[in-house]
Amino acid sequence: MNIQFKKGALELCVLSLLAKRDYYGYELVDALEEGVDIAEGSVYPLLRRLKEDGLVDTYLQESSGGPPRKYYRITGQGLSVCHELSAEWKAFVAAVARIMEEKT
Amino acid sequence: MNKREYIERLARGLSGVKGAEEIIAEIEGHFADGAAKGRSEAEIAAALGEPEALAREYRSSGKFAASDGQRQEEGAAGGGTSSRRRKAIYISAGAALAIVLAVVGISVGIRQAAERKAEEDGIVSIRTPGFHLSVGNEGRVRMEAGGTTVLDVDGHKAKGLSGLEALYGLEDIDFSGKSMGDSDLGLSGLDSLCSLDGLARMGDVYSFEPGVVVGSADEQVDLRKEAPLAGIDRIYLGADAADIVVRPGQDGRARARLLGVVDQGLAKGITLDATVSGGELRFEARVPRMHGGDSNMRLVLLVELPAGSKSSVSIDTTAGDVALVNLAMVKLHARSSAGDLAIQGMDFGEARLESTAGDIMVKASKGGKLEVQSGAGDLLLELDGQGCSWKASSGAGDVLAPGSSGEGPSSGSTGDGSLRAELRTGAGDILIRS
Repeated sequence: MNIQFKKGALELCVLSLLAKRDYYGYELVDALEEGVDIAEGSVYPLLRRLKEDGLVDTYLQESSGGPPRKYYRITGQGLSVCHELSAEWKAFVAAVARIMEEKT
Repeated sequence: MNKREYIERLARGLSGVKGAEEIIAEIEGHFADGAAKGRSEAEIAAALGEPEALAREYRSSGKFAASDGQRQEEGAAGGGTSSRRRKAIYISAGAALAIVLAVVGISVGIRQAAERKAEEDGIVSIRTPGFHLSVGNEGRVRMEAGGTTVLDVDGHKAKGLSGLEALYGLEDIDFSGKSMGDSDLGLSGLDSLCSLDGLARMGDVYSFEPGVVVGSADEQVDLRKEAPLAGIDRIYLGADAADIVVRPGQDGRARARLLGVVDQGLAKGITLDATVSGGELRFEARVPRMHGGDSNMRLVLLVELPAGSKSSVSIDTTAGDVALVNLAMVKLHARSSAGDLAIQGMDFGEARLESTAGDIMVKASKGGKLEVQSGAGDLLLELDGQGCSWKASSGAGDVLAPGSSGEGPSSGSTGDGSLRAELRTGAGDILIRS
């Protein structure tokens, strides 16, 4: 699959997961892997960029044993971008499906 | 590749990158979490991808050019219209929590219905673009608006409270996201309003202690005036730059006392006048213009009125705060340019509170008609009893709605204890208590 395309989709996946609840990095990677084949590492730079853009923020929370975990939490702006992106995505997928179904 | 090697190579690749230590700590955490799940270090390292590639991604994060640029433009456009955004919130609070939240986008002229979602364990979350409120059954409350966390309640701090009730315990709430709107008071402003007790204390009044002279060069001011109230139906209190506190007195007389400390040489220019004419009593404090910005002045006009007064009271101060406690009056009009206004335990026929830049708080008060307006301040309204028609607006501040009762100016009484309110803010955010 086209790499840029996949990255755009990854962003949408991450935002969609975070729209449901807060995740820490590993957990997020785990959840993503259930459906999408990704380089696990690429999630982290993406999270950092989302944070820089103000779409997510982070907080530390104690974990059982080990150092505190960094949790990601979606912001209001992130939610609004997530809504936009998913609308675009759905429209795009529907258009592709229509073309694929078309019998000329 | 083992963890140590991976981290070393990643660290080399990240040298010079801002926040590299934090990134490395996070990837180390990833290894630890993976190991806890029974994966080997080599497995985890392979799944992460080459450390150099990961470092490159960090270095170039934000390069997903096409979608990025577009979004930034949209973001900028959104920022421009945010000052014009309007939110109307209708709250219905009964035994079962039902919330309908609507965001009205003036610029596009459409009303987007909010997405409402009740999750398991009684967690209610409301999500609309730019506004996010979630309430957990363990008393966790988090609210975001316009990308800023405006409210974040730590679970144990609000313990014992559930659902939206957690918001009742304002004193227990930690307003950790404080940067709000243009007003640097932001939520800390509301926060300080919420912690008022007894004599409404706020701003300078709070820290003012009568009789305490600050510094040897300071002069003390203590002026008193009083007047009988027979035949008086209007009372005017003017205090220039001083704070005004109005509270019940011992008898049927009206008493005013101007109290405070000022810089050396300023006391002699300060006056307090009481004049009666045509059914109106006026207490007016006059403070000479300060020279330079470093003059110190702490003045409060303490006014005592009979607890129940047939008079209409009008109050005016330029830079001071205004507080009224435990009084009944037919009509109240209080105005401050830059100060905060607070009323508590008041019973009024009609009240109008205005501040250009200050916060306004109404607590444990009742009345027939209330109008509250601030140019840039935060608003907090808590009304007792039913039947008060109220209207609140702030140009750039936050609005905190009443928990007990209230009716929007254009809506009828609901009669079942539910609340229907309409709140508008120009650029600030809205907090709901229900």
